[in-house]
Amino acid sequence: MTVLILTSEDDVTADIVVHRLHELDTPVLRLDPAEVPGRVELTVGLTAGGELAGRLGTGDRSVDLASIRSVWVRRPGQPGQLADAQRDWVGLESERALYGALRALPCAWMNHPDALARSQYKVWQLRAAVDAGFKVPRTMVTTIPDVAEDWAVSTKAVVVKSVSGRHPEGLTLPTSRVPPGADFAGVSASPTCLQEEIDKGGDVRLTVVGDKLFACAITSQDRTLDWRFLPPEDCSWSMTAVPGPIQAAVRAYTAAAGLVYAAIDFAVDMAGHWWFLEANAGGQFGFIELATGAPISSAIAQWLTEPHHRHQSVTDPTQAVAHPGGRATAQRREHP
Amino acid sequence: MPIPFALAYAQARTPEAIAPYAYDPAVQMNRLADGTLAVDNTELLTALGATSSTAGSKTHQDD
Repeated sequence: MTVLILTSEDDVTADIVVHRLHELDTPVLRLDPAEVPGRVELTVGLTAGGELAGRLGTGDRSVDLASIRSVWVRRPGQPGQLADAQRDWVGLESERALYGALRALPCAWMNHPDALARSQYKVWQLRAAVDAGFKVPRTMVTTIPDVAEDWAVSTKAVVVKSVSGRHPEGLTLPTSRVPPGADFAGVSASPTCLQEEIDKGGDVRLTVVGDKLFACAITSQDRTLDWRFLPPEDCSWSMTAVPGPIQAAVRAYTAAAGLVYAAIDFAVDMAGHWWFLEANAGGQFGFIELATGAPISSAIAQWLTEPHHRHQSVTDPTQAVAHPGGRATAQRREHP
Repeated sequence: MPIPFALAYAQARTPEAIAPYAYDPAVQMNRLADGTLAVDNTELLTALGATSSTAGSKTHQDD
């Protein structure tokens, strides 16, 4: 039985998991849907008895569709990128053919495309987070400048962030403070997401892999608003325990969202309360593992190998992992 | 129509470093020019930011 990984060739984060799967002697097929058609070949059909049959592969490596036990949707490209003619149409045909075949299989997904698609809607996310039991900052999404301005005036401190999570072409959009007296005219040009700023002492990136939770506390000297855009050496990283109520809320959220993997960002206020900021269903984890030794890649490989096996519910934050490079990384690494 | 409000807070994207490795389909992982696996060089991966929360986020939803 094979683990199918959908990702780009340059994704070295996926390399780490491929390495773990090799250690487990788990067969792996890695391919990029962007290369359907082209380097990736697909055949699927229905037998006279209604059974699905076919093969999927690249070059010399292909597998029987029925042998796929799990699919990791890591960083797939859009199908059809190698098409010479009618790229959009060929891409849609390819997407329907590939994902149609995979959706018809009785395999496990990390994560299912439907769950991935839904989780990209911030307003849905925040509402689901409230229902799950998280504390969520007050948030406003609007296209009306006066509404934005009134909301900002009534809020002690305000940040602006992307609604979609995607960065504009050629730019990056970190979560940013909105100063008093800001001109809100531009709100009419695109939906704008404003959020109450949490007076925080630090952040937590919590990586969920099935039933396992890996919480990494992130601190920076100036308590920066968006640590994702700081050089790694400007932050300190350490694994931390997950409070019981947060564990329960994570279970509720991932169940509602249909996710088995998520990278959830929290702001931790001065009283120690965790505030849900967002859950990225495809969030990166490699930098956390490299900095702390948290065995996230091993957990992913184990889940993909035994997707229906229930693992230990909470990960011991003191454990570290020997990285593929052979260096046992420290549980805590303080940058100078 | 004015410029979208959030874009007033956007920053120029820092060019991503050119990856000194290439995909080897035989092992389904990336190799450096000397033939070693990229995952065996954790210092390099950290320095490149290749596994960071913003790596590749220009085109992928994986911050």
